Parts: sequence; C-alpha cells; structure tokens
Amino acid sequence: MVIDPIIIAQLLWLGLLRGSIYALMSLGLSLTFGVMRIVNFAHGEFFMLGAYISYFLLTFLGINPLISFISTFIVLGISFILGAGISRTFFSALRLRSGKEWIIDSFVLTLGLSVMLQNLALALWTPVYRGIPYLWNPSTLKILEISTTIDRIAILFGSLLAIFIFWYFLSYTFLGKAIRAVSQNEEAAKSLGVNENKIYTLTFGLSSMLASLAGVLLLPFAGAYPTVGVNPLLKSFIVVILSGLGNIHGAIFGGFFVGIIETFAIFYTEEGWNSVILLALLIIVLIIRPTGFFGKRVRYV
Amino acid sequence: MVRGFVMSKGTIKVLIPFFILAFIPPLINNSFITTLFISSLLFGTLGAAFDFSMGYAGLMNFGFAAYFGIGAYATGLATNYGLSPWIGILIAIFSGAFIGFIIGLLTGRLVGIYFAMVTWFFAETLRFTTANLEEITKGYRGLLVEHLPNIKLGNLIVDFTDVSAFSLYYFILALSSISIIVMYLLVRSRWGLIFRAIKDDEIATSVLGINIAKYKILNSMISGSIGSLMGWFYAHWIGIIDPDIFSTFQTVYIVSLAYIGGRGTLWGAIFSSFILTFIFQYLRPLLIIRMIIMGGLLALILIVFPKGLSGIWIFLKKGLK
Repeated sequence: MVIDPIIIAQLLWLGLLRGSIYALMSLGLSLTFGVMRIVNFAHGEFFMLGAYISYFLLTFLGINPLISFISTFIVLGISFILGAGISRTFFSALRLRSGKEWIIDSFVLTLGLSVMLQNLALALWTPVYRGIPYLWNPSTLKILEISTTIDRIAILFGSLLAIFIFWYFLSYTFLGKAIRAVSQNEEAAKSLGVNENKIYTLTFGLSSMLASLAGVLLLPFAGAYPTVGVNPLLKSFIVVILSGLGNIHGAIFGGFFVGIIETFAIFYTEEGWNSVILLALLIIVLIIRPTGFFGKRVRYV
Repeated sequence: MVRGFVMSKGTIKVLIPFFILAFIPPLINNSFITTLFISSLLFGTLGAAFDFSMGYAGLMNFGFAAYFGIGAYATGLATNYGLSPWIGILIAIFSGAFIGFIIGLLTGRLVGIYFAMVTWFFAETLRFTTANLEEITKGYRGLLVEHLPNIKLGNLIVDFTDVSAFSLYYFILALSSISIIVMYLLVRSRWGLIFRAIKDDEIATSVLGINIAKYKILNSMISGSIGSLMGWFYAHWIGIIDPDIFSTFQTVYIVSLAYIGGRGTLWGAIFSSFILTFIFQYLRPLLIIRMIIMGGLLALILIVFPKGLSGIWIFLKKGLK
C-alpha cells in the first residue's frame, strides 16, 4: 500500500480523466434508455466508428490543432446522421411490431446491430490497430507536481465542455425540454403536440454523437480497431446500472465515481483483478438496491 | 401419471425429428458433415436451454455462457486432477445447477433488463476470474481436456476419440433428445404454466399465492444444468478450452439461435442452429461476412418475423390446411 499525497493526487487526476470519458459514454446510454426505453448494446460501436472516422480524417488531412478541432465536428456530424438513420429505420420498424416486450426486443435488436457494425468494421478495415501519436500536442508538463500532457487536459476539457453544452441543451432549450418531456411522460408530451418520432430520432442521434466524441478524444490513447468499443461499453453499462437506468445526472456523477474507483483499484490491486472487484461490487449493489443508487422505481423494466 | 405423460402423443411428436436426425449422417457418410451435425445439435440444445428461461419464464439470461463455460471448466479441471469424465459429467451438471441457483437467488428481486445485466456481469466476472487464476485454469493459454474414453461392450468398441465419429454423434443426439424431452415435459406441466404466468405478469402470479422466487430459481437451475451438460460435452469433444468460452459473443450466438428459431418453442433453436451452421460453413471463406449476416438476420427476424423461423413454419402449416 503506497499512500503518498502526490501519488493520490496523480491517481485522482487520472481517475477524473477516465471518469470524464465514462460520463460521456454513459450520458448517451442513459438518454436512450430514458427517452426511448432502449438499452443500447451497440453504443460501443459508435465509440469505435468515431475513432475510425477521426483516424482517417486526421491521417488524410494531417495532424494539427485546428484540423483536429474541425475534424471532430465532422465526426460528430457523421455519427449524428448515422444514429438518426438507424433510429429511423431499425427502431421505427421494430416499434410498429413490438408492444409489452419492447425493452428486451430492442435490446436484442441492438445486439444484432452491434454484431453487424463490429464485423463490418472488421471486413472493411481489418483487425489492425490504428493509432495516432497525439491529437493536439505531445508535450508533457507538470502542474502542482502532477505530470500530464496537453492531450489529457484536452480530453478533460473537451468532455466537460460537451457535458456542459448537453446539460444546457436539455435544461434550457425548447428541444431539450421536449426530450425531457417525452422521457417523463410520453402520452402527456404527445398530447401537448410533441412529435415523439422526431424526438426519438434526435435522441438516438445525440446519443451516438456523444459516444463517438468519446472515441475521438480517446484516439491517441486507445487507437482504432473493431473491438475498441467493447471495454468502454462494459464500463458505461456499469455506470448506468449503478446510477439507475435513465437517470442523466446520475450517469454524469456515476461516470466520474467509477472512473476514480477504477483508477485506484488498478493501482492498488493485483493486475487483472480490478475488473473482477468492480463487477463483484456492482452485483452486490444491484442486489441491495435493484434500481441503482439514484434510481427511481421504474415500472416496465 | 408420469408414464402416461412420457408416452403421450406430444412427446412422440417431439421425438420424431430426432429419429429422422439419427439416420441422416450415416446416409451421407461424410466425417465433415457429421462434425457439423454434432456442432449444430450442441449449440441448438444450448439455444433451447436459453429458450427455456427466456421463451417461457421471460428471464433474459444474457450471461448464458456462464453455464456453458462452468460445465466445461468443471469437467476440465476434474479430469486434469485425475477423475474420470463420467464423474466429470456429474460435477458439471451439479456446478451448472449450482450457478443457476446462485443466479436465481441473486436476481430474485430483479426483472427484465436488470436481470439481463446482472447475468451478463456474472459471466464477465467468471471470464476475468478464469483468466486470472492462471495457476489453476492455465488462463488464455487454454486448458487441455482429454477426449472421452472408449467404451467396450463385449466385442463392440464404442469409439469416442475420433471427433467426427458416429458414436459421438449418437451420444450427443441422446443427450440432446433427453434434454429436450425433459424441458418439453416441464413446460407442459404445472411448472410450465407457472413459468408462463410469471412471464405474463409477475405481480398477479404472486397474488395467486405462488412463490415466484422459487420457480425462478428452479428455472435457472434446470436451464443451467442443461447448459453445463453441453459444456461438458464440448470440453471433451474439442479438447481445449479457454476463458473466451464465457465471452459475451458466445451468449450473443446462443441468444441469436433462440430468437431466429422462435421464442417459446424449444425446437426453434435446434432448427436455426442447423440452418446457421450449414450456411456459415458454406460461407467459410468469408469468415467476417457470416457474422454480418447473423447480425442482420437477428435484426430482420425481430422486425419482420417476431416469431422466428418456427413462426414461418406455423404460418405455412395454416396455409396448407
């Protein structure tokens, strides 16, 4: 056991970074459940697509801060269109068929989508690991005895900004309020003139956008390969289950919480066991509180 | 009562496809095709055991690979410590039932998607644990498991060491038909009615004075012991197992079989397993394409034919009448 203020501060910083990515991923996952009642198993595939598209854009255009900035927006646009398209085709079609078993049916549909997208990436781009050395700037610096890189600061800054913009959008804009209205009471929202199909499309598009942003930000560290989204997916599932499915604020806090806990677990436990510890803890939490820490009583789960 | 039940018309109807299946490989007499038949039956029965939970009691077991893997590892470790595979079969079934009991106990208060998540995390925990316990399980280097020993019946030697032998095929056929018959009899009995009642409305069922937790545990235990029975066969058949036997993809494949075949039919999973195995084998040079096809087929089935391939079958039968 090493207890040293500098190491603890360093671990906290790394945990915060990890947590910001988890928060970004879980935000989208929670949103699709809250609004559309979809437990999206293909969420990690948007992380993967974000990483790939960003990789191809950056290797084609060259890496420099301005291009990284612009290409991020291009990736976000593409993944929004892709997510909205999937919602319009697959989920709209399933919604016509499915009734009481919607949650499980849509979950199995996302399983199919996940298998398809992952293997499509495998067929198109082979399992080769593709990475870039840095997104903005490779230099390291030391702030208050904590050593870090500009890229890492950019990750935290980027994801915090995205979370803030998203939170502002949900809280203060008309569309955001409409999304929340559908998530709270779909029938009432419909009767007030909210077009729920448009809201579904928008929600799924936004959720894929958030996942792909996580993929872009993590590209210099995680790289791009067909199964790159699997681990972030498992972690963001842990977060949303822990914080209660569909709870957006819970997902943000839960993301940082799990990120910090995991960083400490990796440092202080034997290699490979941290996932076991995290999952065992989660199973215990679920047994004690079946709807998570911040979860409300959800009816049709 | 039980005897009359076993010999009923329905049971015979369930057994007919197995009788037909018994004659096909010797007629074709091709060792490669026999291997495919063994594999189809193995995974089909896994799909049926998953269907026993999902299609009847509505328990979406997204960690089904846990049962399969625990059966394989139980017998793998037991035989490596010098026990006979025939004792291994008992250990495998017992450990599968035990895992089912634990899952049923843990998830007593959980429904629907939360049940799916906990079972998924459970299987992932088992995968990480077997990967980490390298001294015991050999981790990702893989655990070698001996083939089943030959049996001598007088002058006749039943050969179990050849992976494509007819004797192995008849053995899995027997295991598979026994499993299907047991599940079929159970879903036709009072238990089956209770499972379906739980699926339809849990609260209403509990109001009728039925101990829901007990029946959920029983369901998990039965599906678990059949899952690990198949794991036992798989380990001795393939000869090597690694922690990826617990992987999410394994579960996704089993879930796909049950969904593509049709939920709540038991037979559907075996049917779709045969179809998928042969389609996949035909597409062998295009290893990746077949996974895309499987994912697409799963999506298509859900959207267009919610009842799966067996739904098409029922539709055709009605059309003919």
